[in-house]
Amino acid sequence: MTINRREFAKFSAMAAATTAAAGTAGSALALPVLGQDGVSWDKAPCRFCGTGCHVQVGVKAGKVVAIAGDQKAEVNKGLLCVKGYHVGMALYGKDRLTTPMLRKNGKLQPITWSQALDVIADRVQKDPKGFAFYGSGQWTIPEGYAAQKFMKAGLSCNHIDPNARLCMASAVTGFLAAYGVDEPAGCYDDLDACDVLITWGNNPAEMHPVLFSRVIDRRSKGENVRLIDIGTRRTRTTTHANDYLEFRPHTDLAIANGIAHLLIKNNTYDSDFVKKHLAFKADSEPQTLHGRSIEFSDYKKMLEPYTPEHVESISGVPAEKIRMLAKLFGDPKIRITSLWCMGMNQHTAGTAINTLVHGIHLLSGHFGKPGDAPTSLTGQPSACGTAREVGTLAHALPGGRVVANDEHRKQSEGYWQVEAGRIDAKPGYHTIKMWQQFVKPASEGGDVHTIWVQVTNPGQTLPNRHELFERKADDNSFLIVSDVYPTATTETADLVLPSAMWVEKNGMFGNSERRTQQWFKMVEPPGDARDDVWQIVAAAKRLYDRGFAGMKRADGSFLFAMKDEKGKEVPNWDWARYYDFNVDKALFEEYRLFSRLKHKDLAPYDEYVKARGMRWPVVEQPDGTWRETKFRFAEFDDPYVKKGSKIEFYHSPTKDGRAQVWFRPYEPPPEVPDAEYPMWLCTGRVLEHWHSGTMTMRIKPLQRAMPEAYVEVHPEDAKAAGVSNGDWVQLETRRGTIKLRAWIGGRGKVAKGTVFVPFFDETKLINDLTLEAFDPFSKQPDYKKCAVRLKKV
Amino acid sequence: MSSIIDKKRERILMISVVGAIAFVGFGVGIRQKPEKAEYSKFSEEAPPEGVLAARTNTELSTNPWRADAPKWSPATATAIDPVTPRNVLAYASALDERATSRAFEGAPPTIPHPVGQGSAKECMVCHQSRGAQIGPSSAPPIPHEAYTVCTQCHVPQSAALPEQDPQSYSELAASDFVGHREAPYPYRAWTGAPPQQPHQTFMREACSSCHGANGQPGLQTSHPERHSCQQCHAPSAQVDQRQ
Repeated sequence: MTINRREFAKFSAMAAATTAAAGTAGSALALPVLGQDGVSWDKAPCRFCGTGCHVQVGVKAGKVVAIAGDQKAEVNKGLLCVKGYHVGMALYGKDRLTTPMLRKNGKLQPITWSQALDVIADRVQKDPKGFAFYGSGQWTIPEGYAAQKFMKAGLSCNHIDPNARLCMASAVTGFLAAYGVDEPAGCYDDLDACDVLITWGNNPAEMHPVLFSRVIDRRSKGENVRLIDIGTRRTRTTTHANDYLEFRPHTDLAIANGIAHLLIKNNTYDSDFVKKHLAFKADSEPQTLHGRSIEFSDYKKMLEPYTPEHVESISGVPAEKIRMLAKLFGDPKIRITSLWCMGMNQHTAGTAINTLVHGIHLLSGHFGKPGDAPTSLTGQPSACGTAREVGTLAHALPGGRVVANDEHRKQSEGYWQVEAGRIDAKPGYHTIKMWQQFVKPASEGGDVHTIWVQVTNPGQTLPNRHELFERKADDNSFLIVSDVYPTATTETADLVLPSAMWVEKNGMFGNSERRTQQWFKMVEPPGDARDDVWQIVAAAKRLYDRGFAGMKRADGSFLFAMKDEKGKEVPNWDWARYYDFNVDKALFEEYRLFSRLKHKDLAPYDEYVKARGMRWPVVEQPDGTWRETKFRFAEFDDPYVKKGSKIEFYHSPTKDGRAQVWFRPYEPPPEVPDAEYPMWLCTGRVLEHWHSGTMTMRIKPLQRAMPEAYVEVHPEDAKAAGVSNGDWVQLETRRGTIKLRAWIGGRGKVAKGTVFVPFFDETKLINDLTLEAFDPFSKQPDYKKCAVRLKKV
Repeated sequence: MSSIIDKKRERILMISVVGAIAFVGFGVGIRQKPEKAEYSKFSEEAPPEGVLAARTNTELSTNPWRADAPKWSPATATAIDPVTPRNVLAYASALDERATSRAFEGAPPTIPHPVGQGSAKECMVCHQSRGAQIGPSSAPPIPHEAYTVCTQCHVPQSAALPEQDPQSYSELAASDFVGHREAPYPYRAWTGAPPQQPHQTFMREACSSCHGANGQPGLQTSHPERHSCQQCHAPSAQVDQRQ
């Protein structure tokens, strides 16, 4: 019992210190609950995907010892998936990075943090315009915000982009082109209300398991949920589906057009919705994100060729199935929710297919009622909260602002208290361009001399790795990597910084349904590992101390200066005293100022301490409470919709309250199978692993259930190649080769002429083979299709 | 012997019939919708001759209920003696066994046998209603029947991948994680008081799943005739997140 009390006292003191120093009364809700068995429990969002489940973290003697689903969390209602249940084990792999290391004579050698900060400062001062930051949708909100400010205000350099560029950029451009503002209007509550769920190239049974069972388990209660799986590969989602519509890769555009065609032809679109709330768009010449406005009659004419039979000839989906979909969308009595993720986003026509799916929901009026929503999912825990909302992208500023807009720059400079003109108006390099400019020798025009990578593993996840990640003989380039384990990226890094992860630090995430979540540090990071926010602030301070002008505010004070309750500046660069003050809270309260412009209002930090996340806009009520918003643009729930208008798209690209329905033709992808490379290659994830497997491959129950990457081969293709189950095969594209075991009739069942390979395995880098061709608007590459050949080895 | 196999066939037939009725019932429900649902066919296509495809669940040679088919029997409540004093050794061994399939107390148990990659319906053949007895092993009935996507939380203890060399991948998961274990003896207010429930009851509402006729010997209740467990065994507000 003595130990229990001591432990409890320690945590109480820690939580109280954190809240009190940051200027709030210590809330009982913020304190972890200590049980009889000496385990104290506290809330945190799961570290893995974008679903945003809350877990209860059990801590004993300074270590995470157990995890439970959080029953108070609306997202997951106490349930988790197998990754979430084991998330606490991600902290304890034996090979955690615990000390900064600098490459000397080809080998990484331990150095001190102070030396590491000097190295970073030297690289910045060499030429701030050639210093880039490559971040992540796993960055916490304060981490992304600090990096954003470090680059755009501190260095006046816009070369900052997140791995989310590879993950959901096309969803963003889709929302912008349709509604003029990013992120889904609906939320997970739609999953409880829909009659029909359509998964577009999406396998939530493995990738968003908690959301999938949230829908499917309604059947146990006797409810009817019709699941329609539109895909290129049979997955675990398919096994629960009522209908499986298998289409040829890339032809989802034709399917969406076929549905719209029939809605028009059968006069089953929602004419009232069209009249009041919609306008129409088509691509302009040259192509731009907002294209050109067209009349409804033009739109109808453009759709004319997309008869069900024509769509069948393009997509391979039987015409009767297209009619079935159109009939469902044409029925106003049912509720239809669409879900999608990488299938539609990692697509060279990603923006186009995103806008088309929004279009059929809008045209048919299946929008703005519970259960009627087009909803994109994210793969990372804070792709929305950090990458999209903080805007850690080469062209963006926080809160939906862009660097190219004079007013937006001025506002940002105001919030950051720097002089006018500090922020560069020219967008920086997006991910693909950034890495191209980095690996290219300076003599050939490579003008990015340094990249600082945080919370991601581009050495494994960039497409066409040989081309984009392997540096061509260069004297000059320098790679800084902050991470928690050795990865394919740290392997070639010049400076490696050990990071604290998840509940070893304070943090905030934003999930796929606009839900902002908060957690407190619960355990100490190992060795000399430190918070990513601290790394950024300390590097900024080192530059400030050297007299680097960018790290000064207009009044000459430190760019990241923070004051405690008494108005005294706190030493947020001093690790020994870093947790005397809640730096996360100070950063969030500053960032919150940016959130009003696009009606993405965030509540004060302390409100998130009490909640299991809240969905923005979170609006203060007359009684001082804060109310979240489930459904945007719909009067019944969104306080910003004009009374009496029912639906109002108040950030309409055409400034008239209307959403945009786009026509976009089906066009073939840039690389299609031919005589030389006769098959399609698709890549993706599996249930047991998350992203590049850096964390999940160190969790035994997950690793032994799925220890190795494999290739799914269709039985007939296997026969033609003389391959049996378990045989080694070689895959080859124009960019690279790989050897894998064939799995025939295994986890997923690929269509004939297609192979599928998961990307989690660092010993089998499938991204040596993938294509870096990208969507013209979102700059997001297509990992789902390129031409490949297969042979037995 | 043959009669046992016949009984097994009968049972499978019965399960199939029940399944078919449920399936039809589901279809009827769906038909209330404006559009008649047309089900895609998910039956596994047989691979062409000469190609060895992944074995299905029922084909896996190490599959316990294939090898032990003759020993397959339904779980029965009469399999235990009423009011048997707790066997301390059996209890300890049951806790040990539990620990081998759970990374920590409260983790979803991992699956000690191979599973197919497809539908969760396969799991329910043995794990629904009262579970099943297969030779010396028992298949516990699931304690949360409303949840139907089994593999969301439960993964097998060994890879389903074909022909793996375990040596090639065993190193990476080396971990310093030490999972929390429940105290060997649950809390009692005084000697002789009914023990408090030592674990979370969320998703384990069906006590009989582990403590009933088909539970581990050391975990079976000594008084199976009593069905209202919480009358005497209080759940813990703390482990159930009600604090």
